[in-house]
Amino acid sequence: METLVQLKAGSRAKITGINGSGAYRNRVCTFGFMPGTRLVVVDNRGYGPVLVRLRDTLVALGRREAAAVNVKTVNPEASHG
Amino acid sequence: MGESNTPCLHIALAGQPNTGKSTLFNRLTGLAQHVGNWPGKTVARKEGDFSLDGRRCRVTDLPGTYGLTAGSLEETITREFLIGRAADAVVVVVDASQLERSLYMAAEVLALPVRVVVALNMVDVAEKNGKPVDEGKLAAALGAPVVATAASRGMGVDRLISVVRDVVRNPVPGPGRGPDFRAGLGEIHAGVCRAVRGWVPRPYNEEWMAAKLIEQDSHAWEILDTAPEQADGIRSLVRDIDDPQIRVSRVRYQWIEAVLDRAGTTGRNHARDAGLGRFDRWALHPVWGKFIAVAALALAAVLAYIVCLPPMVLGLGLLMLPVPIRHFFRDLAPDWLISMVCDGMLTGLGVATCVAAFIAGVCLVIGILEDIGYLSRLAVIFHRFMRRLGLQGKAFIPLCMGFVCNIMAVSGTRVVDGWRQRLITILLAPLIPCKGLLVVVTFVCTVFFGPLTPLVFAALFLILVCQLVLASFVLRRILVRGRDHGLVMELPPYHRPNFTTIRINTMTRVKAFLGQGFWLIVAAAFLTWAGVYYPDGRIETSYLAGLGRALEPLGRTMGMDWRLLLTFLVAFSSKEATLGAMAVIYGAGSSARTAVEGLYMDPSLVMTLKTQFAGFLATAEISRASALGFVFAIFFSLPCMGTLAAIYNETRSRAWTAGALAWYFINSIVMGTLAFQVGRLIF
Repeated sequence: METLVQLKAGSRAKITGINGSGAYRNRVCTFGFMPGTRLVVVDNRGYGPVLVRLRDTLVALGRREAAAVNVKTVNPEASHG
Repeated sequence: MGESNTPCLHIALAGQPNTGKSTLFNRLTGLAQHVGNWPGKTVARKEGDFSLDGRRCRVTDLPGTYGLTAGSLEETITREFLIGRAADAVVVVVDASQLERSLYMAAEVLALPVRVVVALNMVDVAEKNGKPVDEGKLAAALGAPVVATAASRGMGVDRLISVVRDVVRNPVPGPGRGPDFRAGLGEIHAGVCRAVRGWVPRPYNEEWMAAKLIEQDSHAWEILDTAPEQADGIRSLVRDIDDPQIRVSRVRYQWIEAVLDRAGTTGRNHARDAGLGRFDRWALHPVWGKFIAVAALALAAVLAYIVCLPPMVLGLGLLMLPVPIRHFFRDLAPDWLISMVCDGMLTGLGVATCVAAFIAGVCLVIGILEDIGYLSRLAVIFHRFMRRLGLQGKAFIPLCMGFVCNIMAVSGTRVVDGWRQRLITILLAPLIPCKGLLVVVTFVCTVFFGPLTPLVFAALFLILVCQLVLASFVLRRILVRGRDHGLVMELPPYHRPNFTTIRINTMTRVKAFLGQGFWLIVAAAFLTWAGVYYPDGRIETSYLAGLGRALEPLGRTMGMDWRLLLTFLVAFSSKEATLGAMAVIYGAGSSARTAVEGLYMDPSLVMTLKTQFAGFLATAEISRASALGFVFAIFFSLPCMGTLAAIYNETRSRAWTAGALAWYFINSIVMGTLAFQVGRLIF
């Protein structure tokens, strides 16, 4: 199972599940993170926050927070950005 | 302006952060606004008035939150205010350039029994981005009136008000507005609806209550606990649902997607959104981003200084005034009167004016950084570093300002998200040595340790970092309970700063300070003066010196005699005053007049007397171990009066304010004692 923290910048992915605490899930839900939502990884350097764009919004997630989002890459050929 | 006290129209503004809600609020009210706190809460309550056809109208700016599920204080306040129907209508501000996410708030508010008008803000930005939104189609899709606005330019604001007035005059009953949970959640929802039937208190309805219970909304559960016989059954019903929050949010987002579809705004150009913007590529770079951040903060500091220069000159002028006053009135007025005016009043007024100037400068600069959208980038850049301290990236900014002035650091914590993180940052801020304190420590160190000074400083800062980590750990694990959602933060698109909004926000903050904190500093200065002047005008025999002597047994463990203790006590009133007080206490104090003179002298003035004063100090029979004890005790010292006032102002809690005072008092004694004992071994 892939998580958001493993995706390289430029990857497009679909969320498959969200783990983590209730407070965290409530927060990401209001931003529209939910199974089926498509997103683009805008920045991920292997350390520091992961930046994603979804539903018109650029969102920064801490690494621990990003690791709680399960994803499925949509078109792998774009993932070497 | 109308004469009656009850406004003819009361509007509430709700909306997500960065939607331009505050800009709209300032556009409506101008300077006719006041900032207080929600009763018994720590969240700022902003209200303002404007006049419409000669009659007074009121606007309440509700806290900016992303949703209304009671997870934070802000969300609870917003919802309770809306449910309480104190306002005639609610304006939900949405960002046309980020419509999908910002409509989430509209989805929440439309489900409540209130009159809603949607302000479709930033239509100019959306148009520029090639994503225009049709006001009429959106209104039809939402089932609520929509008014296109560009609050930063004042566009559409008048029309918004007239639409609100129409809605209030001719309320149109909204048939089943907002997301349809009955259809979206199916059998789960129907089951909970049946279980809650009959006891849901007004003005909530079954459908809404069932959705909130499924969503694990803590406030809804509190209401449920008033009917214990139903509570257990519902709890077991809800417990079996997988991903309850996600299910409920999904219904809202499905509704939003359908609304956008009907409004004809779907089918965006996603390719353009795949990368970072031109500036963000640098600003969010792990290496270059830090350089840019430091440069931006330095520039901001310079700008803040320039802005606060005029009031600062006024403050310094007040501090200088005693010199001519003493000269002219020497033979005309009694000693005590001159001393009271010069040392007891003018000094306090001068220091407080300078602090007000600082607050203005910092508010302005932070306001600009926030309005541009850069503040959240700073938080991303420093997130990794701050997380090692157990803090949020945004806490970097106030703590940084702490090196200039702790008061500013404490009031600057308003940028930190979430009450728990904010409280922790507030309580840690006094650990940061402010510049007034650094001057004292540098001075005493150079006199006593000469070339060893850098070593002492290294030790001080090393222990400071350890203390920050330790204190943060204790606060997070033991004292401030609760859980955070971690870093999940929006990076808003960059905007040109709106100086009207920033100016108004700054002026409201300064006005709030002038109403309270300002006079606390003046009072503290006056009391300190009285303490060192009475009973006979000589500092050596004053009440405060008496207190110093009484505390001498305690001071001895730190190697401090009454004079060092007295300095320590004066530092509590203002760190800037410490060096001046030392100069007086050790500078022989030959006559009654010179004894108190210079107590609040600006440190730079004292520095000019440096050689003379240093000579006195060096011959004052202070051992190096005592000096080390003193330096540590004062470096990890009590927060000054102003900082304590700021802590109370921000936390609204006597317990936390007193707790901070006690913690830092004990800390300072422990550090002073340890340093003195270590010093005795070394020297």
